[in-house]
Amino acid sequence: MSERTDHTHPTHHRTALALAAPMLALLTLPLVALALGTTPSRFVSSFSDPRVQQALWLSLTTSLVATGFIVVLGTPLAWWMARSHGRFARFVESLADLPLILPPAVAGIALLLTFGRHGLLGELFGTVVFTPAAVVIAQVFVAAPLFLQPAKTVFTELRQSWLDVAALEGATALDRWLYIILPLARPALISGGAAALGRALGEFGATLIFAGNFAGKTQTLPLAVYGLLEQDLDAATDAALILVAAGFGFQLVMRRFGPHPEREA
Amino acid sequence: MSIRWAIFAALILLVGCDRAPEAVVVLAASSTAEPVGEFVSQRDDVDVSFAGSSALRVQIEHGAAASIFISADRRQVDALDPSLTVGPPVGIAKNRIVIAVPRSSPLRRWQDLPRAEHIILGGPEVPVGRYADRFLESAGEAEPNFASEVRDRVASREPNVRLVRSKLELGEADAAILYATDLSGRDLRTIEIPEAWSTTEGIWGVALRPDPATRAVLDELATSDVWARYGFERFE
Repeated sequence: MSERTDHTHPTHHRTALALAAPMLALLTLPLVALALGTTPSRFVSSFSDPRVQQALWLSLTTSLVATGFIVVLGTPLAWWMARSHGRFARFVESLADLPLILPPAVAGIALLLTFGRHGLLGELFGTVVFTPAAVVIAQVFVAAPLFLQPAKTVFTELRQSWLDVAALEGATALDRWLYIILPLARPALISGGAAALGRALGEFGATLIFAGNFAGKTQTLPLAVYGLLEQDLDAATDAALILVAAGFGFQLVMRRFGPHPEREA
Repeated sequence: MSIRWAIFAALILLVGCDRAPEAVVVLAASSTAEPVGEFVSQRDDVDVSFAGSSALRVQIEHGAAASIFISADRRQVDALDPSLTVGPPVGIAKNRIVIAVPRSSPLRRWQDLPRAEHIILGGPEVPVGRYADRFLESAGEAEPNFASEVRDRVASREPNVRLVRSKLELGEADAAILYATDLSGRDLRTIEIPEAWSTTEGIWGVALRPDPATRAVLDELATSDVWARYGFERFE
């Protein structure tokens, strides 16, 4: 990312940084405090704790699978929302944001009422509760809006005229997706996917209620951290740091593949 | 669960806000929510916050401005550094664990427990989960395979006893092990566990501050009749 702020007057830049500092401090200090609570050797040795390993592995696999579902199933929905006008589409858009507002524990109850034994779809899905599949469903539910919003925005910004021209030139629908839509939308889709992945990794409340807490099956790292918190605060801190590190690593990797474009006016 | 985080956040606020010294803050185990809640509702000089006993201990160890700790076992009280407590722990009430099932359940006796498809226990870090583990171990000695068959059916280990109960009430579990007192007034059926395996360490309270108001509230709470009203038994 190029330093576009260089064009502005240095004083303005400094002022902006001064104004930005409180928010930056609020966002980073708790993480710094967390990191200061451990020592490098203790942090490394916490990786060897089988509880932590098991939970980390479950967290990584479920949140990656969840992100896959979010991108594959979310892209068509985002496209439809971006291209539809009218009241129904706006209503669906608001609906799709609701999981962001819902307290996670309530989301868990809502998922039970849908997929639980006595839920709306209980006949079909009644056996998913207390399985890793339930962990994935909970993650998809809470994290999808973070992908849908930027995806919808970028699809809205695509000029219909470009697609019409391509179609006139003989591009099939698939061609238009592969050579126009996806390349242009890629940065937004990737950063949306990264945000959703981060949220899925950190998911706690909905998972606890909907999937339960069973080591090796549904106990993701956030749940393990919560259990550890009540036995061994040091171990909990280290496990939390592993989660933070994993999340941060994912963000860096995904941002590499999806550099932010220079915004066109 | 988010409610517990909210409580945690509220506690941190309490610490930060430097409360008026006369308010006695009680941190109490989830399983005592009804009796302690009723006791506190009758007085305006006492505040209370509920969570799993072990979570409360962590809060106290990290400086939660609390006056009294009510734990669902003796262990969490004894685990506190002596410099944090004032005076000896007080045994307040007795409780026992039972098997809880939905009213329609075909299960009748504790030996039927392995027939439940999904069983919910408390986490090993909270008292109710530890008592359940102890029951399974002891019963396993009397009844071969019992413990392993039950463990195969355990679907989840919840961080506090009220979450154990809600999984059952939501219909997702077929059986759970919780306190007898968690079932009063609930639409669930109790299956008794033999007395030798069902006794718990009981409810214990300890003062965390030296002021006379704290001592007075602890004494009053320990001898209050709210406990009997919710099915707790007296320590003898």
